[in-house]
Amino acid sequence: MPPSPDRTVDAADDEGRLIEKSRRGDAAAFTHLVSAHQGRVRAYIGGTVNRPEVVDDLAQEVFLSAFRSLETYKGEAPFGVWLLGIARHKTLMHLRHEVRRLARESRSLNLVLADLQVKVLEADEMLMARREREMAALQRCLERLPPQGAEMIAERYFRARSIADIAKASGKREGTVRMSLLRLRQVLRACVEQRLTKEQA
Amino acid sequence: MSDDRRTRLEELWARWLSAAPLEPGEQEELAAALADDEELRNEFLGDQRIEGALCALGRGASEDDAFARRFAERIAAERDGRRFVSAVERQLTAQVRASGRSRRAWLLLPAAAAIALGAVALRTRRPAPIAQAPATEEGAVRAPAPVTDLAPRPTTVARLDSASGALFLDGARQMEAAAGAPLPAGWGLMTVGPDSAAVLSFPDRTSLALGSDTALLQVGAGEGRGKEAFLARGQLTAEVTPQPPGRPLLLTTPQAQATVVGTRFTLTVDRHSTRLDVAQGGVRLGRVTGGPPTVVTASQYAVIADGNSQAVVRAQARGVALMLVGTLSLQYDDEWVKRRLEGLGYAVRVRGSGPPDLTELENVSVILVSSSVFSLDLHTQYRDVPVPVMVWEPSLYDDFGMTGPEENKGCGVAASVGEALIREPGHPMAAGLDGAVTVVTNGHDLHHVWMSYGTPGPAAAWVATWPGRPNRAVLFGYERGAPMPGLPAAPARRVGFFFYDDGRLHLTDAGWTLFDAAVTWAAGR
Repeated sequence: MPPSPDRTVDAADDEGRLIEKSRRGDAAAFTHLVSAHQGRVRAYIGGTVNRPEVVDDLAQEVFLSAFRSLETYKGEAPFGVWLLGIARHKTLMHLRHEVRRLARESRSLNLVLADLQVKVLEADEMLMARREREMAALQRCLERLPPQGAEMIAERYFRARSIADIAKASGKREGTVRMSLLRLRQVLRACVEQRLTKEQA
Repeated sequence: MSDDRRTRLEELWARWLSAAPLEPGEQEELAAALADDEELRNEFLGDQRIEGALCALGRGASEDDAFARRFAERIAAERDGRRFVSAVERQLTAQVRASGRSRRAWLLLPAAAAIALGAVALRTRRPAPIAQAPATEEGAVRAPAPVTDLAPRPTTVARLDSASGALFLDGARQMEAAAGAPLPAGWGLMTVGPDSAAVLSFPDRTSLALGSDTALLQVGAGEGRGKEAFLARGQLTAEVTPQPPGRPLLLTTPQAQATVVGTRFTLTVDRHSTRLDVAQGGVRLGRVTGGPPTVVTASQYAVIADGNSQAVVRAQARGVALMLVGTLSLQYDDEWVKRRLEGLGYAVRVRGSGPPDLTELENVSVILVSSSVFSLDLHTQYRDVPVPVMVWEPSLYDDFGMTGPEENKGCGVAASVGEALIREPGHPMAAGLDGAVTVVTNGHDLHHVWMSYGTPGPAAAWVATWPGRPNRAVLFGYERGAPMPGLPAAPARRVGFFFYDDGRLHLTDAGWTLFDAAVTWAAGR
């Protein structure tokens, strides 16, 4: 259920207070903001970086940078969007570094992908608000998955079970499970696109 | 594109995204398709975005808490410099008031404040205040008189022989310090960054070499008094030519004062302790607040730490341990490890993630890589060093060639009950322990402690594993020359250890016993 207008105002108000406290150096207040926004930031970084521990490290760097430069946040954009801007910058820096490193090591597939992701992010400057909305749309779309598909998504992403474990439990081959997950993600992506298009209209 | 072709590429993509291995030919096939087909590219990159979002949504509350906690720890560590100064100020103020004996303590306050805050409010250049301790009578202490008008231009006391990432400090002002520049009396010198260093030379050829992230303040020398300075933090190695009678070199730290007539030594300062390693001659070391000094001679070291009433002197038996850490001010766990190593008799040097200094490594017995290191910064920089290495950052196991060979395969960190199952009780790293041993606790909740693990190759000694997960080694080691998954031969002993940094984490006695044994085995070559 979407939040009521009153609750939205309350949340924004709370966030405003936490930002003000953080500006005065209150790290505990900022940690609340970290808790509230880490999912979006991780999702954004994870959308281009395929290594969970790197996503984690980069997300930490994003929040550290945000904390250090909080004075520059003027409130023109929602705080979450501002954070995603920093996440974009950090991810871009990381990927550019990866491209240089991989070019030395000749890891062709990873190099091609890192290079592509750099280009995507370079073109992504104006899309921060859209990324915010994508996350919300994805949550709605998850609720509309058929039960069997929802269960598989839950097993893989919410219970963190390996492909091998899921395959064993369901009596399927690992390749089949991977392809099923790919199809489910395709469904989710189409659903997200549809919702965003509808919102825009 | 035919349906079969598309399905084939989707299968490859799905395998890559789930970190399943792809053959080189398969990688090339997928790479070529991505490079050539824009539609496919957009679809797969869009798929990766959904995958990333699902992973983020699927994180459990405990993982989210751990993330937020880790962030809070990093902020706390970043603020350590400022906290350290405030603590020193409070401590010194209290001690001076209580004892009424320390003449120098007041003078440390602006010095300490200058490092972290960079805001000592002395607008005009001042003479060296350490040298002008204004004690009117025994027991009476007052602050140095402010300089209100044009002070005489201070004389040069030393010159910079070499400098990298160095700054001169004159009160609140900071100026870039270049080799050959003179250092006026009362100024300070600070090195900033993991690769920074500077060497100061005095006219009598006494030299003070500052390591990285070191602050040496209020350097003074002049007629009628000896050289003196305040080492606020970091590491200083001194070669002191014999000083004139009655005018020794005085080096003050937040905890201690070293009185030097002529010798070679290294002084290391962190938030809670001062360590003196003497290579030649002798140095008198006492607490800054008074009390009888201790004489530390060649091949000995002494530590004055919070709570020690007097310097603890020990023989240098173990050589140098080099700790690679994420924050040079040391996060809690790194600090505990450093103290433990010092207790084992190591002289501990702390470095960030810069490239190895091969000259320095010639004198290093063992390198310890903390999980506070940002693995992306370190990468494979230390992989080939012919010095024993002990690592507890699992993301670096593959970079060191200890697991893998695919990136980040066979290594990780996970919540545990804090137990290790000793599989090779006869191995020296098992320290005589056997069976299931509780090695990590956070003091109150045994189900939320984090441990690193790896899946090393068959040539490794699998000393301890995760209970119930025999493919997860929590303590393992390679002999020098042993083949590893990512290297044909280990350049020196390599050890993976289960420790993982977390502000609330504690090794139990058994955990520390395994730590000691692992360090000792690694350094044993």
